[in-house]
Amino acid sequence: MPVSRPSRHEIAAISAGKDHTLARLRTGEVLGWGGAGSGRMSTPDRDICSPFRTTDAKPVYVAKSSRYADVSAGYGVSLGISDTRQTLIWGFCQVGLDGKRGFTEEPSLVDGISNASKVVAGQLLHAAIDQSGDLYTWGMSTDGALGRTAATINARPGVVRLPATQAIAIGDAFMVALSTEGHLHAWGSNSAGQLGLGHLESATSPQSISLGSRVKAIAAGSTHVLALTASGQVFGWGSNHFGQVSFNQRKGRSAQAFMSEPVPIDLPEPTSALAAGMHYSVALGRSGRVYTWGWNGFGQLGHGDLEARDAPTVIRHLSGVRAIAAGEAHVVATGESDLLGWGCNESGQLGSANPRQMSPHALLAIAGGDRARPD
Amino acid sequence: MRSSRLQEAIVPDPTDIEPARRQFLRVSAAMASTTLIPPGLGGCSEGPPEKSGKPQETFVQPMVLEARDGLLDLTLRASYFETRLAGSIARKSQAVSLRAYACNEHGPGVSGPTLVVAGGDQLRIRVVNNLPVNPPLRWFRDPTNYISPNTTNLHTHGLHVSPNFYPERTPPEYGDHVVDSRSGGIQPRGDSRQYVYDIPENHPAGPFYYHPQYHGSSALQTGSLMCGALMVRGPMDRLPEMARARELIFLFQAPYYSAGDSGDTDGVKAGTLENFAQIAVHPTGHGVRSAHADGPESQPVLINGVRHPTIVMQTGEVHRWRLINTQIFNALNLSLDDHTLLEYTTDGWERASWREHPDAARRDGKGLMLGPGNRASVLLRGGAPGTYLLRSLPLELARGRQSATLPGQILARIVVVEGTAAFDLPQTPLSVSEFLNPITDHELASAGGRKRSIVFDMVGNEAIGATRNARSALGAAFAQATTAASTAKESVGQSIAVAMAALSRLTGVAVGNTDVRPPVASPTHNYQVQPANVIGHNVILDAVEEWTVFNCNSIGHSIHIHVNPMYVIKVNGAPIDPYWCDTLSLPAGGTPEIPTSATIRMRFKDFAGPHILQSQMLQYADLGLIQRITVVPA
Repeated sequence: MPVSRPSRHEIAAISAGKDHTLARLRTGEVLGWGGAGSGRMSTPDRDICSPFRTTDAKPVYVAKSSRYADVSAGYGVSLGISDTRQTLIWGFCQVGLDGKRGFTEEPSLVDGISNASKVVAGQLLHAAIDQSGDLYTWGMSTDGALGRTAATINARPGVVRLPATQAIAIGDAFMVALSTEGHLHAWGSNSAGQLGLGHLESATSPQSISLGSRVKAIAAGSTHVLALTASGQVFGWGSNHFGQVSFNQRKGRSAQAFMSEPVPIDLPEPTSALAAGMHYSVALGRSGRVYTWGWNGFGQLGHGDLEARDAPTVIRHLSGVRAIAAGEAHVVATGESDLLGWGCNESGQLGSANPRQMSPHALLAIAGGDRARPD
Repeated sequence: MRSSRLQEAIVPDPTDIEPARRQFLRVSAAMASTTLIPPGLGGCSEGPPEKSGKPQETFVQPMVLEARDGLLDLTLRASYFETRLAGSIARKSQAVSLRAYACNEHGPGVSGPTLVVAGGDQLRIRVVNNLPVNPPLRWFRDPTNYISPNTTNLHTHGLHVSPNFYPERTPPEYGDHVVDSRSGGIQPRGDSRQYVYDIPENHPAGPFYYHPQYHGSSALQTGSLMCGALMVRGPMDRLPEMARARELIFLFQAPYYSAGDSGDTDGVKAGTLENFAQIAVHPTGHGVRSAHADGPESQPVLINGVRHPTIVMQTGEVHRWRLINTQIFNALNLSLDDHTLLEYTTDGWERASWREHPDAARRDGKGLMLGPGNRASVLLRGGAPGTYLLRSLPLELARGRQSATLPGQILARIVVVEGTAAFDLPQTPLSVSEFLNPITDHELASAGGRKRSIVFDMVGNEAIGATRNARSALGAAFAQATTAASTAKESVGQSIAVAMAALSRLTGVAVGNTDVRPPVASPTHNYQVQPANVIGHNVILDAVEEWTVFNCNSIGHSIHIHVNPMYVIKVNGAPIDPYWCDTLSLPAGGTPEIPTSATIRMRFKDFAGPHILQSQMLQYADLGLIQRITVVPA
């Protein structure tokens, strides 16, 4: 149902999917914008071939009665963790699990995961981390994307043999896991070298990636990966045909359409967070400024145009950003007093913004940030 | 003829089939021919033997229009066509009144004309819709009175051409643009549209076809008589051996209409197709009975409007046959007695080497498989004098939770007579267009390497009926949806919520992909079912992508992707000898837990713009098994 409360929301976390946006409030409630997985039903008499998926720019509450500990916007679906640590799924769940198929925005239970603390939704491919650091994967087992063997192709949740995991990122049929010790493992499709192994062979079990230093954050686009080390250095690898990893002539690296091994990416300042979408990258500097590079077909780089950038480029007139998230072709950010978004809005994932929103647009007025306060 | 149930005899004695009686207008296979199949001759070709004993060819083909000086410009008019068509009993015809195409100054025919173009040509088709006004749309999208059966558009199936719309031109022009809105398309009673297709210079040479693809009406119109062959010519056609071989273009059609004699009129006048349930309740059709008492029936197949035509060739003579399966649901499993078919295009896409299809009736039963919308080109050499049958062998349609075998049927009779002419086959490997270069791992990696998962999953509407007399699961879902619709409609005065609850209770997720419409445009109910098209795909121009298409149903779904052909690299996850196609049958026997799959690669080159992927089992497409693909500028 539409959000009518005029008061300013306090945002705890944001997530951007293929064509929807989720914002988890400090109350645990979740607001959704855009297409399937947002909690909103698509308009039923919409033209089947229309590029535009919704006409409603207002956010809706996802199953308002619930309180979520975490949410993730995926490919037409969303995952959430309830206040009782159950894993929930909603949206366009085409294949379902255990023979249960769901096509509704009403969250339903994913069996087999207890005490989940984090969830990440991908394209028919999902992951959850429980409170002891065990990583569960489920969904379509193609190219070894589950990181484990499974009895069925559309597999139920199962644990991947890995050291205790703190974060997981999902791209097109591959995953990258960050251990609590700061080490990286990757598996699944390696179509553009996104496993960082120096070749293009898929891997059906976790493979170690060495960056030579501890990693503290990761992000996966469709076919490229970004990693942030404890010292604030960013590395990237995988597809690079739009410069989404970056072209760096100064260091004598020629323009390569893909990079199968990690390379450092120069940013003007230390980085605090990373995000990545379909062939583009986003970095949040410690100053609160945002840098973007790569493909820009929907204006998702936020520079007021549709030109690709092959090196991190600061978004002018944007500062004080506290968090970033990247969907397939749209970016959301929590600013000082607004939830902001730019890029593709064909499904209303950016509220009332333009279909190609080329600069930051305010989705929602939010309470002023206290950057020191943890979630 | 021994009985009216010829089709039940899988390997009948060839002498069982009598030669032609009627003096058909003989149509030369030479491409210069411009003779239409005369109205009224779209019937059978069988009768008592001729007195002379000389074999009489009854293979006819539609009018051929060929580009001259780089241009082919024509008008197609959609209207009803009153004619007689042969049914399951070849010698017995029935009066029908079906939607059909007329071309230029000619009257309507059992198909549209055969259009012949080459790389670099421009094809211009003006489509005029002379169909009558649409019946009133019921409050619900009632599958028995489906959307807008008389609104149309045009799709050039398989052609690699722009899908764009050119509103700035006067009048506005359209490429292979099928993403019409619900209020769009070419309206009945005289609306028209100018289509223009610029065939790329390097377009591979092969058989294609055209048919309507207006969402919601595609099955009903294509399953009438609205289709025609579209041939692209190229260097392969100019090889001396190819040019010398007699070319026959087979437009396989199986129009659906209510049978007057069976008592099952589907609630419409005999000989008409006016009700979506006619093609949904028995999606494989009526008339050709299964050898198994509980098997599904099939629709009798016509070749260029004729049932069981006779083709005459000489011993040693080489023919090249262009095979186009325009059926909206059924596949063909082609086999020619005692002859080997050498396949040199799969759909319209050239092959460097033959795929050999020996007489499968005497072997494993696996012939040349043409799913709905598939085409092929084959060469064959006439064997010893005698009469041979071109058959579609029984074909497994569904496996697993539901199982069904489509019955076989006889399609044509080939009479080989003594001959002395020496024909050669072209040397392989054949030279194919660089457009069809393999898509390597390196090319994929260099162009983004995206992988997508596409799911074909008809929930509740799964598969087809396993028993002849029972309504199919699809039909049952329709009945259910219709009941739900009327229940909800009655409830609307009381409470929309009650109506929606009724709909949910009755359908659950059972009509998940059917997009059953509630009685008002925008209900406030939060948790309805969703159609497949809630997901669309944005692909970047010049991208190369790899998609895995999963089939969660017992039935072997068919996927067709517009504009760009698919390079098939894996089936069920296992690598295969790769090949190009544009319409692909997925393996039968999928489940949501263990779906079958095919993995394809595509180059999204040359054309930005909106198009679709769809089920080529057009009833499913019309029900929502369709997704938009938009190729966006880099």
